Amino acid sequence: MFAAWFVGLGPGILATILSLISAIYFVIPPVFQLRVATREEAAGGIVFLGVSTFISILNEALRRSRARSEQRLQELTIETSRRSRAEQEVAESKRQAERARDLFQTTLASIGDAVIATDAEGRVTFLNTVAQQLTGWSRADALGEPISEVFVIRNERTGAAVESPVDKVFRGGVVVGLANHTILITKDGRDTPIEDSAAPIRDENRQVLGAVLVFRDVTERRRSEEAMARSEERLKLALDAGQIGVWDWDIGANRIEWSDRIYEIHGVERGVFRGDVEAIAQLIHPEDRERVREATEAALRRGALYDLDYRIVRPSGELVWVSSTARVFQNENGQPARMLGAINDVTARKHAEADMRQQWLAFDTALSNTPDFNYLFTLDGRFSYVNRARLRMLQKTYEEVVGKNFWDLNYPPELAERFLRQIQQVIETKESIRDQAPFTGPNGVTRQYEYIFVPVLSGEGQVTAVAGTTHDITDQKMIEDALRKSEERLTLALEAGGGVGTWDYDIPSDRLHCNARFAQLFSVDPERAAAGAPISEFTNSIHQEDRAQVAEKLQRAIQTGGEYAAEYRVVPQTGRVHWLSGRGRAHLDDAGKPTRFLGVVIDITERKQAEEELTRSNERLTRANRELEEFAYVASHDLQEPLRMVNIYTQIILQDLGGDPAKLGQYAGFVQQGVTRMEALIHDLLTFSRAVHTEELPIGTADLAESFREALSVLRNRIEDSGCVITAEFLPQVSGDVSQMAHVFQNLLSNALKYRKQETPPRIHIAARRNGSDWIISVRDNGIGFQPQYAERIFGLFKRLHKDEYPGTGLGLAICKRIVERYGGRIWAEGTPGVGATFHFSLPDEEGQKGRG
Amino acid sequence: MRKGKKGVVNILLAEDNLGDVLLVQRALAEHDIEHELHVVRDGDEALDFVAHMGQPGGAPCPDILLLDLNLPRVSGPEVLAEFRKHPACAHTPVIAVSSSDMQKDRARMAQLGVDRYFKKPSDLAAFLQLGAVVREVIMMRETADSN
Repeated sequence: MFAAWFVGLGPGILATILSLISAIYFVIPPVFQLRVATREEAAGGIVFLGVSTFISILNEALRRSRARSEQRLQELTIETSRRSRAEQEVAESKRQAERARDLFQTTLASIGDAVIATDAEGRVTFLNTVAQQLTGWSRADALGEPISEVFVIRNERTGAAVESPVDKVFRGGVVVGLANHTILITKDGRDTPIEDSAAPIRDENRQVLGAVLVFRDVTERRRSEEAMARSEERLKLALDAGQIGVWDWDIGANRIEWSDRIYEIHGVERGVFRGDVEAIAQLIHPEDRERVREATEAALRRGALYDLDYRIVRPSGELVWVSSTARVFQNENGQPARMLGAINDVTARKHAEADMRQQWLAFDTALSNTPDFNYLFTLDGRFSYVNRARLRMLQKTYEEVVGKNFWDLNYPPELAERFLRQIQQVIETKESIRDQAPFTGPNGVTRQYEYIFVPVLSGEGQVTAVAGTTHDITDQKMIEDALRKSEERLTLALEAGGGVGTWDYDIPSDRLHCNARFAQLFSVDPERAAAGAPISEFTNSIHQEDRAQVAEKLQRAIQTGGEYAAEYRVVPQTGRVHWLSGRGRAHLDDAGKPTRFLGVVIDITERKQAEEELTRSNERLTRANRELEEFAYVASHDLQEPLRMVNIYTQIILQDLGGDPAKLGQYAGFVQQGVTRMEALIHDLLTFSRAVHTEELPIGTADLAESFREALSVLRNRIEDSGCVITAEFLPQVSGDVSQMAHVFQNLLSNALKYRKQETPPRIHIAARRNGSDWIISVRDNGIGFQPQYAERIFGLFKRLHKDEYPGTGLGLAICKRIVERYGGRIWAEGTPGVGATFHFSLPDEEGQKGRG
Repeated sequence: MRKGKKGVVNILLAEDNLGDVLLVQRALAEHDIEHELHVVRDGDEALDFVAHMGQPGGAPCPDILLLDLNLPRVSGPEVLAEFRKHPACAHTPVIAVSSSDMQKDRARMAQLGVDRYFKKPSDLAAFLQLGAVVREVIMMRETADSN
């Protein structure tokens, strides 16, 4: 082998191998083309080129060496004497060859591929460093070994042994191209994916001298291939997912390639569609064609960025918005050679944009057609939106306000500072702020406003802006002030005159709130009442007798949502009973359920007292009237009698003057009797009328024992004369007047003495017993009694049962009745003819007068 | 009309006031009425008299009853009621005498049968007219009897 190299094939082989190697290298650099190139073909072509070069160089080398040899031969035959010079020359060639060989070896040693050379029997003659690394064999060990021992290869997938390319070369005598999916098993058993190729080494006679085997580790390349395939796939997926279509315009050939998606977007079919530039332009919306053309020109000529949206009208007539971006690639002359772009269907987005614009307009309209100011601030306190009301107030346009802050817009400094501070606070606390401020309008009028700043939060809860609304509250404030003043007046008014009680009853929760006066009237602690207490705590204070009536009225008012009016008594813990007049109204909600019941109470105790007084007065008046009527009737009747007598007998006397003196005397007697009678009647009438007019006398307490003693003392003589025995039990204190009661006793005792049985000594017994809150006093005698059917008649005016026999005017019992009734009592009588009579009268006890308060 | 002694009218007078009794007598005398006068002074006495009428020891039924309505003890109308119950007195003429108008009792009186009402006047001459009334009543009754 070496001998062959020396002859001059060395440089030839070197050249071949070099070109072979460089050709192989030429195959590797990645090209970002989308057409998968078959490396085997290229490699094969290049190897072929290399081999051809090799052969030609070889031939050249052969030719040169032959020429040299011939030249030497000629020189030898011509100059046998120049053998030493020829030997020098041979030595010279030897040196050259050695130098070449050294160069060759160095080169071989330093190239990246593995090279193994074999002789014609397939025994390793050369093994470069890389080959040593890859095979795991050292040069020393490998030299002379059969290639199949050193270069052990398997099929990557099946693991089967693969025919050595060297064998193929020897068999076929041709260059063997690269094999796929081969793995090299190293000496120590590791495996490495490789690519290999082999070529025969021939001499000038085309005899195979050996083979050279070149291979490389393709692990890295595999990896990057896989990575690229993956990223390609990812890109394809991404494009699919994003519905992005890609196109590739070969400008020179005027041919455009489209991905499937672009056909879809344009609504045309691959194969059917012509696919040239004119056809494509037709699909563009007429209005946008110019724009697209201009943009394309700009990109091609000036390298401007191509990025625009335009419309496509599909053959079906459908309109589609697309967004297109592209890049122009220039060739080596700087001319645009290719344009690569991506198109996206943005119809939906365009519609969304249109909707959003529409929405913005809608919001702006909504926000603007209100007298309130609505606005938005950026985080640094500049207006980013202002509604029309505010613009009108500021007398500026939208553009003049947006982007400005308070100072730019000449707000009063203190307001500007306050607003900025509050905006900051809103941003920091993420909570709204509500406040009031005065603004002065363009007309110089200052009005009061209430405003609120609200944080605008993003989806993650960050403050992105501050929104605000301002509301004119000048009128409202005036109303509030007026209301507050009127409330104050009302409160004062309510408190005047002892105070009006007010209540507010929340029905669903059974909570009654009231003012202090109300609480006081119902004996409820005012603080508890202010907080609200169940209604039962209040109704407990209502007088027993009035509870039913009040409850019924309350029920009715609450259920019907109507008005409530009631008068009733409340019984406080201490103090007197109060009469109250309550008026109220219940409110129902929309469903008709009672929700609230409000009202007022006023203390009408005095009025009630007055009413009762009035009623009593009326009663008294009625009674008085009745009695007066009776009085008048009876007076006219009873006075007439004696008067008639006087009149007639006076006439008779005058007529009979000079007549019988005895008779005249008798007649005169009648006259006198008449006059006397009239006197007595008139006297009793006066007494009676005095009894009638005892209204002025106050009602106090009368000690009946004292009244009795007084009566006894007045009648002492008659009692003694008649031998009457009078007994009395305990006599109590009553409501009344001592002397009036004395009068009553006097009349009753007098009657008892008068209407006695003649033959029986009169006995009178006085007794007293309780009856509820009254005392009943009884005066019993053993006189002539009376028939029961006259029991009432005897109390009438002038009604005497026993005329003439028993002197008297008949007014006595009427007077007793008058007095007793005046003091709230009653008088009645029981009688049994021949046995006696008992007169009873009742009077309230000394407490009674308080009850009537 | 049954007369006791020939021409003498039997008159029962129920009157408590003595002065009025004398006046009635005066009135009868004034009008020449021959009469026999029985006087009862109060309602009980009147009833007693009525009860004993026609019995041995009792008086005969009067020809005329002069009745004061304001009698003590028993009222005039009650006396009249008892009077009318007596069979003999069912149709006896009654002259009701009173100091007042007697409005209240009119209805009842009419029911029981009263021939005349006489209000006691304050004038003597007017009072004496009672006599004329009595005479009238007698005359009318006599006429009625004879028919």
